Amino acid sequence: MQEPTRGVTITGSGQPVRADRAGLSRIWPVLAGLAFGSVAGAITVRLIAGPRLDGPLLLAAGVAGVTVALLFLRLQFRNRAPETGPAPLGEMLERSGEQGRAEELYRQQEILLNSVADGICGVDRYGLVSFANPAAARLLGATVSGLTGKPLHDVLHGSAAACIQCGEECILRRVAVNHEASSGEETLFRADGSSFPAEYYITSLLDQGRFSGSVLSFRDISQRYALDRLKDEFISTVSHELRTPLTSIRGALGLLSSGMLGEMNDKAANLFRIALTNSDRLVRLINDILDLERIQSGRKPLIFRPVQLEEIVRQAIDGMQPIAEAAGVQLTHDTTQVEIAADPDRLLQVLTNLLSNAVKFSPPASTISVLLRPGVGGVTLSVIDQGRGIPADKLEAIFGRFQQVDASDSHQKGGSGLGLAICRTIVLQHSGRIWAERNTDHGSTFHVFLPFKPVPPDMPDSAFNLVEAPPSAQTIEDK
Amino acid sequence: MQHKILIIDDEDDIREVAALSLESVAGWEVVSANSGAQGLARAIEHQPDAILLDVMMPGMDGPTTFRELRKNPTTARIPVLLLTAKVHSSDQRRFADLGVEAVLFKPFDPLTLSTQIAAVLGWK
Repeated sequence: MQEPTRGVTITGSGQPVRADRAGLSRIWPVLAGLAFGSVAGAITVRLIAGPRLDGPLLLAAGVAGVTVALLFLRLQFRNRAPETGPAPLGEMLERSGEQGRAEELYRQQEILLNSVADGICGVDRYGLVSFANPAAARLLGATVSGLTGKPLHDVLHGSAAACIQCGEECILRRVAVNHEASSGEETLFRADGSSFPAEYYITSLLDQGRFSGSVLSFRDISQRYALDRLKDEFISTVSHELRTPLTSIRGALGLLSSGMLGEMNDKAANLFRIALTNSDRLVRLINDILDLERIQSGRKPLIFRPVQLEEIVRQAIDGMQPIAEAAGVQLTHDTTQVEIAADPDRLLQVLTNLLSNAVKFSPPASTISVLLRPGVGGVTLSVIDQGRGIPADKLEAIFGRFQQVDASDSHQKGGSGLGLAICRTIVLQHSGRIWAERNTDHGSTFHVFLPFKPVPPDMPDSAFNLVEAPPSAQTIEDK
Repeated sequence: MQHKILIIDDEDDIREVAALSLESVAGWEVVSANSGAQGLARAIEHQPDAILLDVMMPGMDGPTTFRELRKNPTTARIPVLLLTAKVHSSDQRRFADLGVEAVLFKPFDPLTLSTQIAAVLGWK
């Protein structure tokens, strides 16, 4: 593609630049009087250039006009060689219509970018900030002009004190160099060196398959952090306040029902057993609520490391064995050596929950089998029971909070109603999937698919294609 | 073997249940205190084999009491187990960093409380 704009100087004087025809004919290309809008521009064209345009035109515009002129040039000459011959006025009028639309589009974009509360920065292919909206400048305690032209990483982390400066591994440094897309939370530094927690998204822009830059958007999440802290403190306090009386109740009932403090009749013993079982249930409920809240909020982050799944299955079965024996249920497993990246404690929690459910709903003398089957991209763990099964309309609902097949289950089976919700949350954090199926004969099967290499949640696609990359003044002038 | 345990907790009921549990299940001797300050005095006076120390107490809280116990040469070597209803991992890390022997969680099982303590301290 030939570049029509080489050597053209565009100035934004705020006034039309007048030039005589002889002077104009020495330069190329054609520019319309954009600042006046299409019709006025066309009249100006005619006044200066005559009915047929046999030489170049004036450039007339303020800053906005100059930018739109550049945009216009880019749109005009994107896919074809520049016209070197004289252009008829009709064609000029048509073009000035396009200019009007381009100008309108530009104005809309400018309004949008200026009014959003999120900071937005355009980054060119060299990792330099080519554009920043006023919110970006405000959040970073800088001016728009102070941000543009600088490396992205310098703008976001440059003012950090030497002792807390990030290394080469800093994600914000890497995205600019490796053209990676990324999202997450990072501490950003204002021009004065102070910092704030921010949530950011960096998206790569591909222009016809070629990396042409990135767009960074970010927002200050200090308030969310403060709210999280409050919620954390609240839950911690509630948990503490609930546990304190429960400690006395649970302790007293435990001692009484053990018979250690004296014999009691059967009815009294039975009542103590009921009270003890239910106080245990209350403790489990409090623990599960806390657990679910902490896992979902990400305050209890997963620690991924290579895990032998077979080992996790064995541990879960060993832990559940006494309860299964008491229920007269047999636990078997058919596993093979498979290694995946996972948080072993969390996976053990998932499998223990599934086995515990299976035991609760299995009749005596039945069998629960655990299968481990490696497949494409991951491994599927299945827990198969011979219990009463799950109705088709509940197969998905049971993974919700406090959702049980039968409302009386939580009373009779002693569950908190949160076990499967916890399982699903953990599995999703492993980029996996958990679902339930009805067996053809009787009972149900819970499947857990775990990828060999999980990806952190909430990552956007590596890049998305922009068929028409928006031109920027920077890139056109560079050409 | 008979051991002497000092329980420091501001909750009367919990103190009573824990004392009953250690006395009737393990046959240990129990001394109680309802505040950090009283606990410190009783520790000096009774020289227990171990101290079961609550974390959240008005006035002198568990961690402060623990530091005071460590400062005093007559109590500095007595093993301390924290007993807490706080289960947040950040709290747990903070407690572990204090240098206590163990952190036990409320509610505890009165039938196994003594075996838990004995296991931590290597008592037979």
